[in-house]
Amino acid sequence: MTPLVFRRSRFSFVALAAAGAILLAACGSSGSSGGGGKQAPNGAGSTSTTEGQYGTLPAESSNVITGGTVTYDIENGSQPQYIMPVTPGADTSVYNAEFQYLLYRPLYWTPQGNRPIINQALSLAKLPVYSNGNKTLTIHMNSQYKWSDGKPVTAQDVEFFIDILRAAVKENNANFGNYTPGAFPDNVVSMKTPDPATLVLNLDRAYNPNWYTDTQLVVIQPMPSQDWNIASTGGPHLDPSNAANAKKIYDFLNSEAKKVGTYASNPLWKVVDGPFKLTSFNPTTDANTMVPNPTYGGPVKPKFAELKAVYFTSSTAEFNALRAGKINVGGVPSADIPQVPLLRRTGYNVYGYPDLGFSYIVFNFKDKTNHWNNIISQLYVRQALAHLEDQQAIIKGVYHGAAAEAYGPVPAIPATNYVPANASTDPYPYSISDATNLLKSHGWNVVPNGTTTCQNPGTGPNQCGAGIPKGQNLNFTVYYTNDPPVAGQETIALQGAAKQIGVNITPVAKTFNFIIQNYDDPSAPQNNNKWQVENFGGFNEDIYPTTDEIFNIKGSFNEGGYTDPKADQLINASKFSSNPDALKAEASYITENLPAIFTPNEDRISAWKGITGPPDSFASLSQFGFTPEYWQLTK
Amino acid sequence: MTSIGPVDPTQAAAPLATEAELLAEHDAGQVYEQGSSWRLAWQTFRENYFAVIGVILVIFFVLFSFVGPYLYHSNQLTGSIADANLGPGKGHPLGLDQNGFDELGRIMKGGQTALEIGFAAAALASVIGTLVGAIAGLAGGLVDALLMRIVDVGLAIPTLFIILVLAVRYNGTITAFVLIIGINSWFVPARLVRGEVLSLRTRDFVQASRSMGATQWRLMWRHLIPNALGTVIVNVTFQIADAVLFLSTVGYLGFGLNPPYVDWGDQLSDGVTNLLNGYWWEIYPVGGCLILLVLAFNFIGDGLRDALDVRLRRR
Repeated sequence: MTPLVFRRSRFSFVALAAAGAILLAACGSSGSSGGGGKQAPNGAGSTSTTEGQYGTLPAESSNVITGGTVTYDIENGSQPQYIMPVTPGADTSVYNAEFQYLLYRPLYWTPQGNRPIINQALSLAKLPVYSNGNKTLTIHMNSQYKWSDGKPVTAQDVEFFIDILRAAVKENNANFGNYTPGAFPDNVVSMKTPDPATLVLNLDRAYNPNWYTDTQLVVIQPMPSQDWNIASTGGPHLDPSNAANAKKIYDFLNSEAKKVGTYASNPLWKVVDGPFKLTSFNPTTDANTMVPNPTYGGPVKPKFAELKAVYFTSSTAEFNALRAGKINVGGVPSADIPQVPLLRRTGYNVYGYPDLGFSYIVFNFKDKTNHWNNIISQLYVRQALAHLEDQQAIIKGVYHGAAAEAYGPVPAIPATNYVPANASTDPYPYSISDATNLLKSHGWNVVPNGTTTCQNPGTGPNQCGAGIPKGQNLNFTVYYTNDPPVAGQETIALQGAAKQIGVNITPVAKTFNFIIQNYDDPSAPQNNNKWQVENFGGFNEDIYPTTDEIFNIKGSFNEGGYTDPKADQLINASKFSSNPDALKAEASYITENLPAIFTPNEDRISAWKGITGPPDSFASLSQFGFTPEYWQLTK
Repeated sequence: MTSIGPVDPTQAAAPLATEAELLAEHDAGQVYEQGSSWRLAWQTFRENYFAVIGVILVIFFVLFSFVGPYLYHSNQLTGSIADANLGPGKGHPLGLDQNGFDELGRIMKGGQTALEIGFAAAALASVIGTLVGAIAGLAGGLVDALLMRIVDVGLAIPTLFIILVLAVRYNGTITAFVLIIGINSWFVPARLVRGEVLSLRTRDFVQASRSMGATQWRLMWRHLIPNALGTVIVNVTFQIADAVLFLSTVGYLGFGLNPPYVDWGDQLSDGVTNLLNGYWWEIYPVGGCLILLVLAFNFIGDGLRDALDVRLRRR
């Protein structure tokens, strides 16, 4: 399963539906919530700020009214596109997930407040219990959840989802956005439902329970097996465990889901287990309206009358609507952060926090031009370059304070159970003198504001390193995305710092698409010798943030061709071993070994007014957790 | 000698020729005129107040861009990213930009590239356009038709589109932009010069020269191009203005010069991003400079056109 998507800014290019976190499970033991005992959003207000936090969370107000309409934003490019939980890759995004989850709850809900972990109170099942050497897992359903036609949400509904998913990906891998061949559901050898509340899955091998739960099970969204097991409108109910039937059912459901104009009227989509029911859907803009689902079995039921998604053509238009006070809830683009005081004056609350993921400046280890591959394979060179990045200055000047320092693939903020020790203190803090000393101590003649060259070639401890000839300079080009501006700002700041140690960087702006299509070693090997460094953004991650696929040797997102046997070994352990700390070890090594320069983790900021709710219900917006059922309009 | 036909301006300020040179050159009816036409043009030009203002502005921007950095020192190598977008104040009369560079120093650097690229691209476009236009006009027939169809095609394709494609494909250096803009801007001067040549080639002095055995090459270099120079010169000023605008447009769209070079369009783009944030110093000063420089060249172009075209002279 590929839990990764490129990100170039907070409000774009993030995809992937679910995310879960958790657990610490040894053989035969149950997972435990990474979020501690508190499972539901609580009512305590938070006016204090923590590192990385932007704004504050006000306490829940009692000055509320019942009924009314809550409005929120959807932007061009981030609209919901597909209603059925087995969602094709082309329609998979966090935004589509936000929409679907209002109607069809995932088996395991994430986040919990601003923590990217499984929220058991909002999950349809208890955490899985692993047994048989982590080759078998048992899931017990929570009994309080019901479909809107009164039937309980059962293990058969989970089984139905898996059957339909198998049929979908058998037809075409792209029929499920979160599918990777060999991963879920391929790694499920067999399944059974000993009773309506219990599902047992037998896996093809032992997996790390944390990895399996947080990356594989979190994509499950139970579907109403007794209502959707048909191949035509009014047709007979079929047995989905039969592959031929499953295919027919999938084809029918998929064809109905493509009829966007019928979303609000099709009887299929009237059967929901989420807190809302769809009453209108604009097929052109995807603007939509929902009303509360009276049979929703979750801990809190909606108290307002209508939830309305308002469409905007751009983030600028959306922010203008916020400025005009036309919507209750909306995102604040990072470029508009200086206008937050204006929003506050008009009554908006504003809060932001980094979501789980990382941004980085990628080294290309395969470019042989001018001996670059030999140069960048030297750890001391990467360390020297990492010392040139002033994260505190970038957070202040570029992000206006709305970001957190991040030194590796698993940042300290937002907190997860997988944060390594070296994620909290910068292992390579900004220091021109440290960078200079590192180069000098390895045989380089450092010429500030000039051109630094290798004076002592060779492979000894005080020499430049293998394949680096005498007189070799350290100059290179950085290709950066021209939108959003932050990539350019970071790159130009790096260029200025590098100049001070005689490293001449040439920053070159390209479009985001041009960079990821042309300067990517796995997918564009013909260009391996055409780029040294790039800065396109980074990745959003699953709640189990292994760098599988990004930094392992065969990773399809290993942009710079980073190759390190120890990293591969640690990544494998994160995925397959039973060690609950395997991911920490992986993240720690990657942080130290610098396959890239990691850059600050930007806040995802939201603004709201005219509504109140538990602080966690607003904090979770930073992690793409949308729980409007907790909100009420204020007087 | 009294001027009775089109004046060959290249001869106006020529030193006294030797007898042999005079014999060699007097193959047709070349007319010598002691510079009165240029003096008249200059008089007409300087009476055009807008044109004079244009010249003053161009001189100002040349001094501002190239001499200014010697008088006003700012660090344009290392920005203070922590102080990005700082407002005007002590030490930074126009504040800092979004990369933490001094805005005033930045505008000076941007002015350098605007003028360098503007002049070089205009010169390149004019040279190519003049040659192509002259060859087409003089040769006529198939050559003319072929060259003019190429010009038609060139004019039909939006220049901005071509420049954007090339700018994405190739890295943004000053040389690259001179070539990209210059090579895509010669179509208009080619057509203008061709028109002039078509008119000139039927004149008596050209016919006389031809009858005395002058080659096509000689006709082009000695008679046609020199007599079309007025049109070319006027066009050059507009070409400079266009090149500055093209560079700014491409820069505004995010495909301009790579750092450490600066272009005003890129600065404007950053400024627009931050306009609603109240960072006025990132947009109005550089925007004003761009408008004034382009306007200055347009004023000069208008003035030159009035001065060099006898039909537009007041007397």
